[in-house]
Amino acid sequence: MSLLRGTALSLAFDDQPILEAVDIELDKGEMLGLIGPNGAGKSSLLRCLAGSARADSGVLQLGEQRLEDIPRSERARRIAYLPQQTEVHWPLSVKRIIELGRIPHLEPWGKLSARDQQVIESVIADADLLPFRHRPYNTLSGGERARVLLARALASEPEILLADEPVAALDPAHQLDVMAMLAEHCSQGNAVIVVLHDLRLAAHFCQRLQLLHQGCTLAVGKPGEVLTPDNLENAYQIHLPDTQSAIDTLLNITWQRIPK
Amino acid sequence: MLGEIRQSRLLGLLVAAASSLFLFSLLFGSQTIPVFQALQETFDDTSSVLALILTEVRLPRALIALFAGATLGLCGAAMQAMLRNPLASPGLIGSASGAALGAVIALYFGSAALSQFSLPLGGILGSLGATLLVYLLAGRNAGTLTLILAGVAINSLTLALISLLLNLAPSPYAVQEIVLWMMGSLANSSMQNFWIMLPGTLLGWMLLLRVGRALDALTLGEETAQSMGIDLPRLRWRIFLAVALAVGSAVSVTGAIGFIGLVVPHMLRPFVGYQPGRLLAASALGGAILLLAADILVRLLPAQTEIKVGVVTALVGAPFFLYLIIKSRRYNQ
Amino acid sequence: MELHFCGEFRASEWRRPIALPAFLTDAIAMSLLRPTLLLLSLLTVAGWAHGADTPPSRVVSINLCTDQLLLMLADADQIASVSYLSLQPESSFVAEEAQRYPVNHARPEELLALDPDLILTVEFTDRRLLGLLEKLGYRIAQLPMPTSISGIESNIRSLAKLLGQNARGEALIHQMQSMLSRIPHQPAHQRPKALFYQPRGYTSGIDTLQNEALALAGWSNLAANIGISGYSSIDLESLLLGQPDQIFSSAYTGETRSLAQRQLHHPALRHITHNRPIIEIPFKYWICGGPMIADAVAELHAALPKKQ
Repeated sequence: MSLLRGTALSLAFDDQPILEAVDIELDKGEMLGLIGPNGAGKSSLLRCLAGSARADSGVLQLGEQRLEDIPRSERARRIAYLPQQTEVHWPLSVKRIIELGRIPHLEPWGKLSARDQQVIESVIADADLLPFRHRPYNTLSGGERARVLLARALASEPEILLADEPVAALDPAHQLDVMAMLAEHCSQGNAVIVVLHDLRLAAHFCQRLQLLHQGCTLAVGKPGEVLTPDNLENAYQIHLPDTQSAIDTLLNITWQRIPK
Repeated sequence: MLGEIRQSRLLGLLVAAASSLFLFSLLFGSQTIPVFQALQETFDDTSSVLALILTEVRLPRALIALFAGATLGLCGAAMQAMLRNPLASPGLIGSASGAALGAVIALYFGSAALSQFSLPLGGILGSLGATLLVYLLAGRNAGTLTLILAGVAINSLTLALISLLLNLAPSPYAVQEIVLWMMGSLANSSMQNFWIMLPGTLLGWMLLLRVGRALDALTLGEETAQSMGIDLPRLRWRIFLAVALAVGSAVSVTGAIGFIGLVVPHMLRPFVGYQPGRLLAASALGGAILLLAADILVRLLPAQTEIKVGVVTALVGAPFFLYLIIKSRRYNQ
Repeated sequence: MELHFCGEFRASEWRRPIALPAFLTDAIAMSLLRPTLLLLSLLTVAGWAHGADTPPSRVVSINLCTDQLLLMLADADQIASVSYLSLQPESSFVAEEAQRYPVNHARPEELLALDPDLILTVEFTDRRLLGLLEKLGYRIAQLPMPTSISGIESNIRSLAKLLGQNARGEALIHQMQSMLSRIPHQPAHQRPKALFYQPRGYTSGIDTLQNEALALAGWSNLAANIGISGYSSIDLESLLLGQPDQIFSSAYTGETRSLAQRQLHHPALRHITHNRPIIEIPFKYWICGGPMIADAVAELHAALPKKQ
């Protein structure tokens, strides 16, 4: 039984089809990479899964339950969503933003419990944000901001994390940091769906990839099965030489993060 | 740089300041009276002039300043948080002028047979109508500029309608009351005025009791807030309704007192670590403090005819507003 | 309880007390007109082009106050037009009589068409209108707004002279004085305290008709006692501290819905006078100073608390 399953999801906007009968499946402990060219429907699919867009047709299941039957609050505890380009509207401190991640777990009047505090502290430490914990968000660099937002999402201890381009606009080192945090989350028995444009990061960190093109699934499976010259040509209009070395270059990251 | 203060300590300070100003507003009026004698006579239940001044003139005025000020501060904070826009406030996005329009219709054109609660009801409906109109005009994720433009348009329209209606009103006094509705005044309030505004005000406050956490979540934008379990449409309606109830009731009694809902949340935001939820209570107290202080000032200023309290809040608020504009301009460059 | 008087009845009572033959009044007027005109310091007379020795025969009044005195003093054939305001019974004592004459709205076109030889108005009139009329050579007379009974008398005298109706003027003054003298004098120590409290919190202090009327009627005017002069606002606390026995109002309209009038319903006002309701004295008694002030004094006198 898969953890999250979407069947025949369709979505249209002003009669313009965005998703056409897309299936998606996510297992426990798995990191699924959603790839595809701009406008393929990756973000829309993720928004459907997160509940901020409603599919016109299709079925979404979390475990054995239909997603719409699950109360809003329970769903918020189980699925966290990190939208593309999240804006933080007030200059809250790093710690306060990460605390917001606990909102799904709090009673309306309740305060942060000792356990909440403990989760927050460990997330801050994992995200390597200890030196910044009292800094206002607007004084942080892009890489720091991305880690704070991811830490906020992780602070709700979600079974499933839906992350839309979390490494966009980050330098290679910060990209690796963020991907490592996602991988760590999966290794704790949770699952992640991540939208990526960097095919090498996708191939390196994701167990499976789903390639979307014009609102349909073009291919789904292990990175090596999806990132074929044919698929890349059809989806991205790019040519990959059909040689082992070219494919190896695509599937492997040869650089590593230097430990701090 | 002003820093964050522990919430309990901040609220304690604000409560102390508000209560002192409330007492001060009972002690000092346009005339000096022996206050202790007045208090004694009030508690002895003798119907003396001093007791009358205390209970029928100063008490209602202080109570209305307290409740109306708190309403404006609270609603300003709630709207700024919901629209994630530091310039959203009852005065700028039409809630107050709409309320004044509704109250004007109810007061000057309503039939006398209607109960006296038609006045706050008019205010509530007017406030809701104008606010929703601005919201629809500006769109859900309006930037500051769009929101202000929509607010200016609706404010101008409501103010023009108020002027028109007061010119057409059957009462010859109506025309001269334009300023009263536009600037707001607490002069000559009676306990009856207070009782009229109370139910709507309290109802509005109650609706805002539990929105703090949702407003906190909205800091991260609507999509993230929704994924955190916040029912956005419900939250929006709740806040629009709350603002309409509270601001509509208050403005129908005091007129549209400007700038409190804009200035107070701003001044207090650093002290609550910019957290919208924590700002609500602080801003309510801050609004009460500002209006009580402005009203005391108005009473103590030596003027032939009492200055409208809205003039004082505007004199404080307008420069502050300009400062915000300059600051945001610098920020955008 | 509110007092209601029949305006029409009063109006006719103040009409032309003695009907002197026209030739006689004309003669008196002619003998008195020229020297007195020089003495009328408050009377602005402009465009003195013609008719210096004959009384005006086409008089146009553009203000309610001059309408009323004109209708009380002039012969019917002297009056060319009165203002539309004189038709409104709520404010005018001559509403019925005014119907016999063409009305004007103080618009220049209208006035020119009437071809007046004298235009009457009061001191506070649109200066641009007056300037225009003066430039066109019209004769204009402006009466001051009286703040006392002697001011009313001098207004009546001035206008009577101007119209060549001196005898009628004196008779009108005499009638007013005899009515005032019928009201018993109240000793200073027996005067209950009262004040006028108007919509928007205005009161009448020293140098107002209401002040003099209150005094003649036997009241002590609280507003004057605390040093208020003219028409000015009084704050609620000062009013209460003065502890008035009676509050009068004199709104220029009936009860309409406005914030200004809501102020008169402040509960503290009822408490301070021990539930004596505010007595409404019709505004038309003083919107313009005139002999009808005597009626106002009588009404105020009737409102004095009955002796135990």
